[in-house]
Amino acid sequence: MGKKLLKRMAISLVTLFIISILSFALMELAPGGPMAVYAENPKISKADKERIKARLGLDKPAHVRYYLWLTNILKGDLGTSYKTGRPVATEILQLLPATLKLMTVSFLISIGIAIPIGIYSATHRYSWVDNLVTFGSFFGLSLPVFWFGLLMIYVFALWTKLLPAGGYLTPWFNPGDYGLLVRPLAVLWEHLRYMIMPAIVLSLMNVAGWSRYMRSSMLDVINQDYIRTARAKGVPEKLVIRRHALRNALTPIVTIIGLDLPYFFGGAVVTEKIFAWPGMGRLFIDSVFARDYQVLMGIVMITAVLVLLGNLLADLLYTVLDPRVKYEG
Amino acid sequence: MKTVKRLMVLLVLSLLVVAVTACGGQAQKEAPKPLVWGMLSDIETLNPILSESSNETDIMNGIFSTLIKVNDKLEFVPDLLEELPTLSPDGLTYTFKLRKGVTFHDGVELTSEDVKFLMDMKLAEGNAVPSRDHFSKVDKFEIIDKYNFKITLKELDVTWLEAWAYSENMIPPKHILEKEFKENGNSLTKGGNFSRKPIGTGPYQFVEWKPNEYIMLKKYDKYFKGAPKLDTIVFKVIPDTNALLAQFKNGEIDVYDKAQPNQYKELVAMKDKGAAIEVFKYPAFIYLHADFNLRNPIFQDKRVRQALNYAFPKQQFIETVLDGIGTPADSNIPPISWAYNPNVRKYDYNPDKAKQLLDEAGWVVGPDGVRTKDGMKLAFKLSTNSGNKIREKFQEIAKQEWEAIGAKVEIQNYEAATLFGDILENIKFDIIIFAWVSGFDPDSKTLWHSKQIPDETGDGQNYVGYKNPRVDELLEAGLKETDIEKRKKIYWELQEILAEEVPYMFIYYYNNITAVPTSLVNFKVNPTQANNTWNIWEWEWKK
Repeated sequence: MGKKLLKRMAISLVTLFIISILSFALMELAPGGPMAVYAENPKISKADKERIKARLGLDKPAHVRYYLWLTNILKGDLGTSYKTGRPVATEILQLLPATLKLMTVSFLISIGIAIPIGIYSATHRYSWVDNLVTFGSFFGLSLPVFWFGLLMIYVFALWTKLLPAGGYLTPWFNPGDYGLLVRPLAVLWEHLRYMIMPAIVLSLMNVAGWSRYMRSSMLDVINQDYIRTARAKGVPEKLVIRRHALRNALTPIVTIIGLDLPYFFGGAVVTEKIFAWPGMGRLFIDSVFARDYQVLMGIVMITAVLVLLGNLLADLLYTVLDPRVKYEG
Repeated sequence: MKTVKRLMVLLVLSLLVVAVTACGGQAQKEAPKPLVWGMLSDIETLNPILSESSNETDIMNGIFSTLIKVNDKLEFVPDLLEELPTLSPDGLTYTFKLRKGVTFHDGVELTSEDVKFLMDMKLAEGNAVPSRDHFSKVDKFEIIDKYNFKITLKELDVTWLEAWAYSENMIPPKHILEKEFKENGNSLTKGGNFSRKPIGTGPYQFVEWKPNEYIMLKKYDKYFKGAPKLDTIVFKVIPDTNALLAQFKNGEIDVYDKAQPNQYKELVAMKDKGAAIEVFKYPAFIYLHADFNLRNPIFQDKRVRQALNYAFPKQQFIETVLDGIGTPADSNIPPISWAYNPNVRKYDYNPDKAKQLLDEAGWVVGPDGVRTKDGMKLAFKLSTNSGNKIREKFQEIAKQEWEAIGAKVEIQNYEAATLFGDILENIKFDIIIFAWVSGFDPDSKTLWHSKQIPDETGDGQNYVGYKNPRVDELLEAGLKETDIEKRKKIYWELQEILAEEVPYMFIYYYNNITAVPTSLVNFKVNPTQANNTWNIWEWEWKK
């Protein structure tokens, strides 16, 4: 298995290299560029622009810049943002905690809801609950995120005033304002209240999709012979589902969730915008509009690594869930 | 039993949450209320030497000071100076006199050295300064003593003083920044320490900057005009305009500056329903224009340009598309300027006149309804940055109206980076629609002077390629005339020529919309680049 793993890693490295060339070339071919932000300002002369260009290293030809970027990244340096002049790694690391926090919570919510719903739907096929869930899933999948987000803000912030409309933490929040006894709860609530709405909005899509996968995968399994055998042997229904069916039904779900792993890092543009959440999705989209190629390359490469890792992880998890599967590279 | 237990736990938890939130409410009331200002995007730097964005100006108005300010009545007033600088009889040398006892937030006194340092930094080769325009006009800078200095210009330029009022010339602390400059290999960058931890002489000092979240300032008690009245100011980043409005309604932000035009009605309705807010609507020094590429033979005849002007219902466009949030433009000088000439040629909607002008110019309607002249079709492309709904609406109306008088219009839009970085820069347009931000001085030499055509002279913003010797003369004279009445005459003539020859179709001046709570005292809108935080030291909560 170790050898296969090594081989797979080597292939991954080549893939990463090809991805880097492709993305760099794509950005290079896209018209415009980092200098376009100066266009609408009548005070910036052509000489000024040339100077700024040289300063950013944009006066060099593309292949030279790619070479510089590659040698830097091999040294572990992701480069410097054109926009803020700070290391790309700093830019990313600064927004990563908020992203991971929101994504982890919404992933947990999604799994926690989607899997039981899927199981229930499968075991109670065509019951009114199943029909409701089916309807709900399509509703959830077709709901535009920005609309749902604004609706949530309207209901929970403007109307009932239960939650803040957006942000990450109250800037002047000071745990010392609270008595010793309630302080931990106050801190917990402060962290939770801003997160509730974006987490729900993000979970909605996941729940809608994953519960469908879970349902169909479960349906496949419970019609198998060995399930019938288990039932015939008199194993209680609960055990049949939990021990025999679920474990087998989870395998395809793991693949899907493994493929979704990069989202943990990538953030969610629309949700982050509406709830003013300081996450990676916004960094990405801002960098696209500013043509901040250094940051974009950084995000693209890290995402690529995560996609490859996610695939690998899902494959490895297979072997745990299904002992028949051996890791074959 | 199990469910009952669970319910109990849930009940206790929710009670605790309620208790906590209730306590929170009480605790916050005791501390002075922070002011929260909403903004659409995060900033890049708080170092005024490198700053380029308007959001940065809003915040730096709290942290730094300028030598002079432009107030809400568009007058120059001294800020760090004892009085407005005096000008020598030859119009070349300005004498400045600094206030005594002005201190930076670390307690060090501000002196002439700091001002000289600003100039050195602006001109230093290693610094990514956006524009060197202001200091490249300086011949020499003489320090007389700690508080007095003289600046001599290379040539007379009456527009030179204005830039001293804006964030690009906020005075930095030499004793701190010089060290960073030297340690960083004689260069300052946005990634530098000072960018993220600025120190100035302004009424508020920097506390923290959380990327994509907020920037927080607190008052500086030793501010030279007296301790400011607000305790804390937070500039909160909310990247979506709908969310900004929601947060304003919910009281999570106090000031909603530069609201969207389509939100004006809703804000006014909010006020009418009894919300304690004030909604300001005022013209800005920004105008939308459609530029004719004069290298294109179609547009070389001014009658064609005039015809297209006559065939567009400008007034109706402002009323319907913009909900009235705009002021029609006849030239590049807005009605709020002292140099505005109200008597120029105006292009009220008149398609018959447009057709007549095209007939006179020799454009004959062909069998397909499109006019031709010398085998050339009256066909052209109309471009702007895609996604801008107002500009796209303008295109739709223009296409319809212009095709009705015998033109063939193709709408071809590009993403902003492409439009400005390529189509405009490399002059690949027929008609291009975008906006200019102008200073409140009426000078516009870079736009119209024949030495400012980028593809011929390598510099300037005369992208249309406009050439008129009289305009050249006027633009040059306008920079040299110190008598304001005579100067006004110069710009009056310039406006007449521009309105007659229409190298641009001047569309409208932007109106800014800003909503503030009535409990905020001394908030005064300022349409110049000084922005609405220009007098932030005067703000206070109503008692």
